[in-house]
Amino acid sequence: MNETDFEKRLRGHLAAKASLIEVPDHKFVQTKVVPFQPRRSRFNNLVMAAAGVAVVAMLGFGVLQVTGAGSELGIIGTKPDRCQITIMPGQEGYWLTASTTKARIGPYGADVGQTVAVEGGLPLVIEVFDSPQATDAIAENTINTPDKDCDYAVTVSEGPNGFEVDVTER
Amino acid sequence: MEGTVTVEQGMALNSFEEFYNAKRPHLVRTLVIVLGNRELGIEAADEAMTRAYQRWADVQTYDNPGGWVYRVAMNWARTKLRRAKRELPSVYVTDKSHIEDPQFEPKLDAALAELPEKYRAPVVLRYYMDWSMEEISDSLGIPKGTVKSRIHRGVAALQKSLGEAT
Repeated sequence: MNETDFEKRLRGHLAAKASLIEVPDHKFVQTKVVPFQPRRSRFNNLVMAAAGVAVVAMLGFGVLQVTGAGSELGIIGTKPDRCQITIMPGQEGYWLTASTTKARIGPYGADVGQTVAVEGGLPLVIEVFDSPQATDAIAENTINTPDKDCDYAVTVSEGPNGFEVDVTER
Repeated sequence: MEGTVTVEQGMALNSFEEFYNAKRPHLVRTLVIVLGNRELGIEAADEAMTRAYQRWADVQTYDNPGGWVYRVAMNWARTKLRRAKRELPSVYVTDKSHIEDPQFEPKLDAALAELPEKYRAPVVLRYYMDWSMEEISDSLGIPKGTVKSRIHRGVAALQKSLGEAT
């Protein structure tokens, strides 16, 4: 279809305008799942044995989504206007995606500070590849996003209804 | 082994990652222009991409997965705005003082901002995303004839705003 000169101008304008819109880089980051190794943490002084600790260190976001091996475990939402972390199953383990989204996702929404039961799933320990913060984060049993405005400690442990994910603003 | 993901799941994820990396930048920019709000556009794109991931086995079989994601993003944005009891804001107008690209036309940008969303969306999908009438029809959920007429009227309205009506 032949375009008029005005349509060509419109096309050029939209391309120029779009090029001015900066798109934040929200990448998928592959993590791996290692076999469950029971251990006690400072968050688990009670009876509950730690089933796993999700460890993530990068970017910043408002929602944490934890999914199991091919099946969704649940989605943990933090407050609006917060940071977001999404963990999804990947080819060799799990994918982590992060964004500055302000919204909650999914049926398991929770505020910062709440502990939420997540149904189903397997005991997991999630480690992050190539992250300078990973070692420290693993040692602290936390997910620690480096952005000061999106800085959370998150622990994942086994509860009576499955996983319990604790999101704490640091 | 427990805790691992099957090969099929892994392949699907590779496919999704490619889709995500290829489509997300254009999706974000399109939504920002149509919605007129950068934060809302980014948020809508991420919400829609997450839902696409959750349904990827089905979504990847669609003729235009990007159209599905766009529709989901727009529906999500409208719902959010409705809950916030706000109208769609006027289109995102960039600070033009430092723009050197000769293709960027400030008057045309202002005219686009004034264009109702029902015309702006198909115009942007046609002339920025370069989608076909069928793809736009599918993504907006309106008949192809309606798409054509809205694009025609949208373009005519822009020309009229610029004093270039034929």
